[in-house]
Amino acid sequence: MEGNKHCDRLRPHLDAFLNDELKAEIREQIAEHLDVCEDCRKQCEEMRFLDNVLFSALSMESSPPGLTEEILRRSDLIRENPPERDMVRRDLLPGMLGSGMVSVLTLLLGVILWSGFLELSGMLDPLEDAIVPWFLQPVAGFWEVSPLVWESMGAKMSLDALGPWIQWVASLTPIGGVGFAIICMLVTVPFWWRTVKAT
Amino acid sequence: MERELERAKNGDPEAFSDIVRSHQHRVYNLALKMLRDPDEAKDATQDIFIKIHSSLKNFRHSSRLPTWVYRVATNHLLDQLRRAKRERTRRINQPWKEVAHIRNDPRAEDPAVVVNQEEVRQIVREAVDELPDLYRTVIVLHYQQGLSYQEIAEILGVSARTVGTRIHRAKARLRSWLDPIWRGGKIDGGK
Ligand SMILES: [Zn+2]
Repeated sequence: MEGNKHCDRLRPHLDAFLNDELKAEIREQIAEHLDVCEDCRKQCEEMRFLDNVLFSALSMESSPPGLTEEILRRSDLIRENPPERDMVRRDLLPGMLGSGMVSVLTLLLGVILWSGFLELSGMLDPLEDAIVPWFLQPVAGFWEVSPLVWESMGAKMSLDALGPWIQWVASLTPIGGVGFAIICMLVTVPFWWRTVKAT
Repeated sequence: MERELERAKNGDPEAFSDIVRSHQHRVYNLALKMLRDPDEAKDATQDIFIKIHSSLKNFRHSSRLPTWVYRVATNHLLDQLRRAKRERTRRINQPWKEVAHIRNDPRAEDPAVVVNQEEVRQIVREAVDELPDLYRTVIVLHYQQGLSYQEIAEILGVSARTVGTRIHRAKARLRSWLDPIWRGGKIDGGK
């Protein structure tokens, strides 16, 4: 029968049809189908009956007297004695500390790798005196990894073997590290922001 | 409305009390149908508005105020039901089955008259009370609060299609419960 296939497809939409919640296209399909299908028409009548009973059975009652006043009294109490809040939202703390630490570590790693590379390639030598102000000269060496360490790790050998092309790409990787650190910080900021707003 | 909301967000008690006055009736009725107990509904309504009071400053204008109020309310009520369910086991018997003594299949008579029979409405109310929480939520929001599928969808954070499916399933369940009563009534009535 041509009815059955349509019935199965359209019946789940019958109550949306009755509530006028359907798109025009399917609404018309149902209207056309109801013209020819006795079963669905009957089902529709039953649905409409249930709809009407539901609307009428679930009518609203009056709310208890004094409810508004009670709510306002309680909200006034809270306004006068606001509850104490933690300075930092405890539930957000692990996330904040975690991503904060990742940011700092990547940043450090980036700087170390970069300075190590510049040191190895000798690019930094002529610039060192110019970049580092005189009062930082005594500590300038602290954050640098000694070229000896890099060489002992075989870094220079592999850099030389890879040729200038790769050296150039390698010099970009720490920038990637810094970029990653920035992304981590961007992730962290909303956490802090929510904390600031919550307090 | 918008100005009132801004004033309430800035802590103006008068503006907040306007919000309470214009919404408490609907929130109370929603709570009553969801919790099925007038005392619990009253307490829950208070708690919901206290929640609204304290989170008003986080309200963003991406949704309308009534939608947001409904959202806070339904979340609170569903939470409360979930917690209550963990604490006590659910009633197993369905008392509305015993109340069922309609003489005839009401649908056979003039629907307009039948719908207004308190007896019929009472049975339907009790059947709605027995629906699973998620189904009861959409049924109450639609039939009691008069909200459209789209409005309900925004409140619950689902698609309008999902709301339609839930209402459809809830009604199918109601019919499967009510049909035997109505049919059975007809046989017993001997009309
Ligand atoms: Zn059909």
